[in-house]
Amino acid sequence: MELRRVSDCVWEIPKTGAMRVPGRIYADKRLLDLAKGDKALDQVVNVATLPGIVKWSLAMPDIHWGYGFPIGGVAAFSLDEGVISPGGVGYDINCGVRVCKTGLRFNELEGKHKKLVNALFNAVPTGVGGDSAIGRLSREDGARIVTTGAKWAVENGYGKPSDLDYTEDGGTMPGADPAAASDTAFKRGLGQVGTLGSGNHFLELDRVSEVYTPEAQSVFGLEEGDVVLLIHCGSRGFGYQICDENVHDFVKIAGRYHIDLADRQLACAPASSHEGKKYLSAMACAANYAWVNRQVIMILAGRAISDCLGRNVEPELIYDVCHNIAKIEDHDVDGKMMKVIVHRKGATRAFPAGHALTPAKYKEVGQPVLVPGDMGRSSFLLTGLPGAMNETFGSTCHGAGRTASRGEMNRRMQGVDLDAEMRSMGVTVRAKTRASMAEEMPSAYKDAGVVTEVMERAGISKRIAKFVPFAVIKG
Amino acid sequence: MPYVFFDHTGDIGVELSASTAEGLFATAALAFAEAVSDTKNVEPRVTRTIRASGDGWPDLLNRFITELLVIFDEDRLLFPFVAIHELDERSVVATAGGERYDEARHEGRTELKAVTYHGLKAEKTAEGWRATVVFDV
Repeated sequence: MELRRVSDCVWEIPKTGAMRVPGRIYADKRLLDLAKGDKALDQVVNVATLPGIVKWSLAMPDIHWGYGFPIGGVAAFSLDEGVISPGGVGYDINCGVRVCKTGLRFNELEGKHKKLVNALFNAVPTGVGGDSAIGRLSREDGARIVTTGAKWAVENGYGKPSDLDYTEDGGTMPGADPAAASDTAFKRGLGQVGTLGSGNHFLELDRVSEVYTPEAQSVFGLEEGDVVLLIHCGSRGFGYQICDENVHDFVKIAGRYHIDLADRQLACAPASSHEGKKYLSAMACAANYAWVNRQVIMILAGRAISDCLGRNVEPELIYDVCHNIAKIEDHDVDGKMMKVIVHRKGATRAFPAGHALTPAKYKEVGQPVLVPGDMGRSSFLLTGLPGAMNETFGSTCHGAGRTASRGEMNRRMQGVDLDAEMRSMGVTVRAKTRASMAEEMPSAYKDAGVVTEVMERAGISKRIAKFVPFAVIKG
Repeated sequence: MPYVFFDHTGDIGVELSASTAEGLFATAALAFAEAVSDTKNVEPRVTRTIRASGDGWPDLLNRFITELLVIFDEDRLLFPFVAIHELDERSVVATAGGERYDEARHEGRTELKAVTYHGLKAEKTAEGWRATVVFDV
């Protein structure tokens, strides 16, 4: 595959064959070599063949091989002439991350890490068979959750109204219609509100290890040594089911809309079609479910920390971002503002300073973005830069990106004392199973520091603060 | 082994083999249950009828395993034992046997989000029935 260097950290796959637009990859030389190691770049090419795609099929530096779309992929399609693809959003609709201040200082928690980890593990259900800590909800509550999103949580005692100000879309994606989601999706999801799930999902306490700009303190109120709470999870079985059903249905109807699919997981339908609109509505339901989930978990975690320390600790939300989503947004395409559907699959919205959708508090610095790393190394708070609007449809990376498979990690970690290994990095971890911990060990991932540095060099997002974990729970 | 798990970056796949189509579907059920949990202590205490339909063998296999996945998510029932009653390229009717997942007795492994179409295969070959399935983790 031909790759042309466009600038320091941007590489282009020229338009060939059935590609409607070129591909563009954000990476340094080393990350590019990693991306070449699997089929992720072929997937960038496949996405470029889909109807109505505009400008480029993009890959962020944390790109890796997904289904249909690569993980770390961004693609925008004309709302009038383009498609919507459930696979371009992913199974875990509105999988995302939130970061909260705790008011705690790292040095006051010495000797309490294990106690904190156990308290969090007992309060927030994780892993296989994790039932909701708030009980199985009624179908009526389910309908309200998926329609109103995080607002439902606040109205039901989980958080305060200002939390909504610091959640992408205010925690409610418009256009959600419960009738667009199946009974099966509700059945899967009603017993899982307030659960973390497994895989790469986590909840952790980090210390602020470095601040890069004065705004870290003046705008975000963060200083080195502060403790922050990070939560990474999504829409659970509710969202998985919506993706599954729509991928299945869209495969069947592709022919009707004369869409050639290079891969069945690229299944899509015109955004203006009945099927496309129904998926968008169901996707919005799942996005709302995910915001409720993270909001509830934040409150459960706050209560657990308070009980553990014997003092009131109320998590103060800095921001909550989605990194598996499709959004209807206005973007400049060839000099004209155009309504497009931006698919971010393992990518995060990163609007710059002054953007209308950035909360007033962050208007002068840009929308906050949280990029979680692995459970041993750093995570980063970033803000969007103007380059994001010009080049990436207001998007940046979402995480570190895997380099080793789950099976490979299980083999590598045989006989290794995982707890001791993590303790040597200063991290106390509690996971549901040994395997789930082995599969998520830091060496399975790229360094989020390198990934975020690439996006900073490219002028897409800039780093505000670095967080290092010390207490982690996993599924 | 009639099933062998393989690596796919953040996810897991399984290669299935059997001498008959019925055997392939029964093996798929066992492999799914084994991906979610160790099944050595799972006993056939509960049965349920599983029905699925699809457009051809790969789609049908995807829908069949998805049924088992949905039942696990909704009711926490693990079904490693499956008897196939009716099966053709478009539909399957089976009785699944197993019990409710109990983390005190069953060692949980991985929560699976979905059965994907990625690299999905199910076909009769000269050596018998073969399938490849990738699960989203």
